[in-house]
Amino acid sequence: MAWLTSLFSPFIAPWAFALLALGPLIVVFYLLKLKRRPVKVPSTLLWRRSVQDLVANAPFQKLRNNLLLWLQLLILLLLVVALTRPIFKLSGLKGETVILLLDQSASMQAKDEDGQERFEKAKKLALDAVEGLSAGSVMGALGKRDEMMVIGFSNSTLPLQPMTSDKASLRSAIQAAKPTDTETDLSDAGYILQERTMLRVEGAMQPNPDARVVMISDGGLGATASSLADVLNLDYSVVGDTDDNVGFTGIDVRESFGGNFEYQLFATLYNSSGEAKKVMVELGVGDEVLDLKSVEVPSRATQAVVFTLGEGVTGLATVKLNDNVDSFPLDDIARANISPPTELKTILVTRGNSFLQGVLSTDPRVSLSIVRPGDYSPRGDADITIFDGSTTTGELPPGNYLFINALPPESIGYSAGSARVERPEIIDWNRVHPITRYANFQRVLIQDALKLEPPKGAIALIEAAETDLVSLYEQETRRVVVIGFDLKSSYWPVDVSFPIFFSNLIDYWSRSGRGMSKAAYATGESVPIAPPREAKTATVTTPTGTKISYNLEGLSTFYLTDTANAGVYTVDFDKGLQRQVPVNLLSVLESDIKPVEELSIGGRKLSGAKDTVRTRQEIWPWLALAALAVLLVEWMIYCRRTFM
Amino acid sequence: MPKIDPRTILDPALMARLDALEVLTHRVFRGRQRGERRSRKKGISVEFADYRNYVRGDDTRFIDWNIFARLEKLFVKLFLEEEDLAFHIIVDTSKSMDFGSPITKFEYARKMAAALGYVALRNQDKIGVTAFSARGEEVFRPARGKGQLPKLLNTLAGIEIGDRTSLRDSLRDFVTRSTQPGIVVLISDFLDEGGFEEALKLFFLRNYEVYCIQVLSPEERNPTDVGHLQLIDSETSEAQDVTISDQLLKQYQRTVEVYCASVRDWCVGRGMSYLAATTDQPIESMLLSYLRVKGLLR
Repeated sequence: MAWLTSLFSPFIAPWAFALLALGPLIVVFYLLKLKRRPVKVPSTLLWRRSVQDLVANAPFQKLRNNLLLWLQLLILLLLVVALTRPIFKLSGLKGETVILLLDQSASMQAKDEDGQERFEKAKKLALDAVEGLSAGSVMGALGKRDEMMVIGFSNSTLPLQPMTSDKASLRSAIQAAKPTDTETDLSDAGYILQERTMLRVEGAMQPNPDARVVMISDGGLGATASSLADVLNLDYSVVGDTDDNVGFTGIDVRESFGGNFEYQLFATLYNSSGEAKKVMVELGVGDEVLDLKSVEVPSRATQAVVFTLGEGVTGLATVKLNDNVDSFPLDDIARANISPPTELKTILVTRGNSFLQGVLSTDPRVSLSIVRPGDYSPRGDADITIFDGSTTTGELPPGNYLFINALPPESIGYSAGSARVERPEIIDWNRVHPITRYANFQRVLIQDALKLEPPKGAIALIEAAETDLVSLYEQETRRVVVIGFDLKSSYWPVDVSFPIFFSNLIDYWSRSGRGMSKAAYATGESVPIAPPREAKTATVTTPTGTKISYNLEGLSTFYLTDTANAGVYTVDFDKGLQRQVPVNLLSVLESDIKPVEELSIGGRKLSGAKDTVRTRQEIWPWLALAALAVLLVEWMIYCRRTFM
Repeated sequence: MPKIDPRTILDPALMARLDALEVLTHRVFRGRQRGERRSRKKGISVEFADYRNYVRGDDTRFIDWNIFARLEKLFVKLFLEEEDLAFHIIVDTSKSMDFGSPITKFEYARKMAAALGYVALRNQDKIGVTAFSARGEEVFRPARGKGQLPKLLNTLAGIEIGDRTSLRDSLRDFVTRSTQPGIVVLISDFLDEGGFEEALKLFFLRNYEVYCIQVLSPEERNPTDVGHLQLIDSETSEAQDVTISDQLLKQYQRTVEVYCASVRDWCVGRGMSYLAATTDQPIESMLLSYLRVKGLLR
């Protein structure tokens, strides 16, 4: 049935084709209506023979050669096609309700071969579309007054101009639009469009045939384009003509587990052009260039590059393509933080646990002091406090806590059943959480464990059938991990997952302490920032120079949400502390700047009009006029009757 | 049809020119009375009457060139002439004849019959006129002598267009009644539903020398009326719906030509003479040229 739908797609009211059934009726009428002039002749003998000869040679010749009949059938055809309300795709807009979708994603900043930015081209097309709105034309007079709404989309979909027929407002909204550095995400476009493109008919939503969506884009829409699948009348204008781009689509910094403070910087490159490209990647930290690597990136594929950073290298690392000139410079540079190693003051409250002591003392970040349970008193400057088989009472100061085979103070919210769980069997663990990733706990055997009843909001990291074995609970200023069994009555300390778990745990607490969990962020992403404990206010300076102030009273984390621009966001705290947040494009979708001529939306193929706004124009009034003209001609011919 | 003035039928000037003509026959007919013609009957007439000397003015087609080769003298082959030549004129009075311009086909046939009758009466031949309608009614019984001319003209003037006619029935009646052989001139449009072949075959029952004159009007040969028409047959009143286009007009003209050609071929193939006439052709030229060429008049 899809072919049937596409066959009738140029017609708003294809049901009118059913009226073609009137054609045979015309033929019948035609035969019936002939009013003949009686003429007396000597004999009809020879006339009969003449007619018989004609008919014998060609049975339908009379019908075929009858100009009037054909003219009448032509009139019928014209009227029927007019009733189907066919639409022509023409340059310029003459619709009724038009929703203009303007692509503001990063790839629209690409410069085409003529040196013009894609977004400028798109704006020009959008302005053309505004000029094409009918105002008092023949078509306009016969239909409703045209209206237009402008919606910009990048990582979010925002109306730039509400529905209006005022061209000046539409023009100024389009002129003011700017491209962003973010990736296309149309997932919330469906809700906005649904209001304008769907009608509620007898309780059910149906596509509104009078609403049309005109999308101007270079086509890099990604999977979220499926939210446009319900739009009945969707016209697509494609801008852009080049695919010449190599850019960074990923960057990360990882500490190596070598027992020292070495780092590795990973970056991935994508080449959107049709041929492989060799580029020079330059690594710099601060003003210093540290390394230079030559990388060949295959056509339309990604290629990774790894740099190893020596001990003591900290600060903002920058990788960029050296001497690379392509059409899309935005992704030619990427930045990531190499944080200075911070020493974590760690108190281990234990009666003696060589496993714990061993695993903690080998981590270079940990500054370990061991106290016996009776000697413990809460200290505000400890980063990490580990209770092994004992606990404490009273309020916990802000910080990171690990309770092993013991419950935290009641104020945290943990409780336990009276009976212990015998031989709990690990059935699952959280494989994506930073604390438990990269480790396999399948072979760990445990003699018995507390039957933990964690507070609401706690995350189970390792689970047995009967209870959570390891649980994480985070309050605003405290991060509490509870291990519900005694390490010494389990095989865990001799399993390979044991050091990985503790390394992950300290890494997790360490990053939280530095205030950021990732080395670099993508544009449009929310960046959680944990301020220093003593900070009260923060001022964020964006790459464009805009300053945003935050009040940090009572906040352990605040979120930087306005990250639409790639670059370095500088966070200044009131105590003179400063942090730098690198935000990069990091999107294969946007780095792939090759224009998409044909979109596939919800199984529907949509071919784009190149550098022109294509939309429909109803032509039924012209068809009706043509039918009238043919009717006049037919009448004249009938009166003369010499052509028959 | 109202009776017309008999004097208008035959133009005096035409009569003067017809005075020089006589009816010729190519066969021998046995007459019943002695006529003004020289007899060619054997045993009664002069011997060697088959040939005579050529005199200036004789038709050179009848010179016997074999004798000329032997004797180097010109002899003319003489046709055997009857003493009492029966000359029958049959005029179609069916309704289909009541059409045409500048005069109707019937008027044309009547004038031609009058002229031929005049020639025959003047030459002391016995002339009879039959009006051709549902019954082959004989309106002018065979008579001889120039004195019969007024009567002939009166009779012709009195003929009216009849009702529906059948060519075959009419000729059957004529053949049954007219037992004396001779020359038959049939003036008709030959537009008969029953066909003309079966009718003309009846002439073979008698030893007639037959001349068929087919009279059509110019409108019948080249009609100009086009459009959606209901053609009504004047004889049968049957209606025929036709949409006359240029194509149909051309087809009709072809049909007329084929039909006339079929009448002509049928007649010539069976020893009859055929002559096509159109009502816009002068009767004088038909008589003085065409019929002389055909050998009816001399």
